[in-house]
Amino acid sequence: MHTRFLPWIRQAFIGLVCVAVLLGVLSLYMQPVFLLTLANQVWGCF
Amino acid sequence: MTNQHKTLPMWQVLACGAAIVTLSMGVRHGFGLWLQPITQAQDWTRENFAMAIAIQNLTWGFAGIFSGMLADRFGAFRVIVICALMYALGLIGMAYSSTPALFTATAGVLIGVAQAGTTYAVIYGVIGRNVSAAKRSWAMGVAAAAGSFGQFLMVPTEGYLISTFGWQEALVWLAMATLLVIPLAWGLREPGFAGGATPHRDQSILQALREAMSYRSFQLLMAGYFVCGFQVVFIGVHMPSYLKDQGLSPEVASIALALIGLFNVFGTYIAGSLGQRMAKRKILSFIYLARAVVIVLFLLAPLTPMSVYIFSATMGLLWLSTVPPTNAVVAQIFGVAHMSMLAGFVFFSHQIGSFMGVWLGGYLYDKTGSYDIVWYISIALGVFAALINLPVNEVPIERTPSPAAA
Repeated sequence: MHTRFLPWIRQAFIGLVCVAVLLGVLSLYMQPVFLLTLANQVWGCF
Repeated sequence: MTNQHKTLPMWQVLACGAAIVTLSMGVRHGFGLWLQPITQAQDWTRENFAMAIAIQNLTWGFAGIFSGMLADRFGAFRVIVICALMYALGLIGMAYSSTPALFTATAGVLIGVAQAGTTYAVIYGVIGRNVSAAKRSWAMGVAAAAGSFGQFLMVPTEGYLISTFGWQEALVWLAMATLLVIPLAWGLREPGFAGGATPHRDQSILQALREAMSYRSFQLLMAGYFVCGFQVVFIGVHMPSYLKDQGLSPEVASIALALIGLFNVFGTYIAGSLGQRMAKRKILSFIYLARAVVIVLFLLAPLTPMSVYIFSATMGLLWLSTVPPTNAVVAQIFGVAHMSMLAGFVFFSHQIGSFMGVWLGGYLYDKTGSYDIVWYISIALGVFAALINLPVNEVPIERTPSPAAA
């Protein structure tokens, strides 16, 4: 059981770190100044 | 054990491949941020800029076939290093081009070729040769998720670079960032290609090409990927205008972009992981059908910021999720000896679809004054792609041994 538990904790930890990083990046998008810049510019081309 | 049969550790392939794709997919995704500063500073039209980016996308698709061939023949390492240098050179050229023609040559052609040698097709070849079939689809999902993450991360990063250093110096910083690909490529030096060696292959390039092109399932996969490109780029490019026409604020479109980027990371990873347990043709069929259903619901529902966010999050899940299963099926059917070249061909079809999505969206809007027809085409294509992926035969091809080898 101990050997099964450890990989589970490791996977959960990796998953949490990934989610935290993604939410951190999402918060960059939500800054009002950047949101406006993006609205004006980034959709201009793909 | 000879070098031919030695493989790289999976963690090394994934770490280096994912980091390379993060950079190469990410850097180009934020190019729209340079539209205003460059056109204003150089006194060019938006068409000048858009033309360079359109050529970049087509070059990326076309050059992918040849970078794939070279990577299969001489190893991904050499191709990635040369293309990383071209990427950096292209970005410097983008910063200092004084004429639209030079801008098209650097930002369009040079960066297009560079992308072909540093993105999915070439990296998937390395994954195919070094990761066992039991984990291949999952590994492709990890690499695709990394590319999606790069797109998500680099847009705000590039916005920060422009506001801090100015548009020209920001491009120089980006050029230096792309050079990081070179040490990362060191981790993808495959033993089978060491010292200029070329691994034994049962088929020549022409034989592999002839076999794939005449194989019905490959044709179906190419047709499906065309639809993927059409839908994704039509929505990516034209949705802001659509939302504006419907009276929504530009900020709604920006949040929509962020949500697509965020959920795209999850979608690509999930699709890759599922490909390990389920028939990939069923996953692809589901993705295309789900896209059609989501678009129908989006058009039927009252248009509000919340409906846009729900649409964006759902489409984000389905955005690049076709990439791992499509490439994993190609590897499964044809083997990995010509993996990058065949992935390049499939991707070329994707880029033609992308071009059609952008162009037809603009053309029909100008003709009819609305995007309605293109939305309907997107729905019909989604159903079409869902249907044509179902009969794809995923069973590996059985070949009679041939004396000719590349």
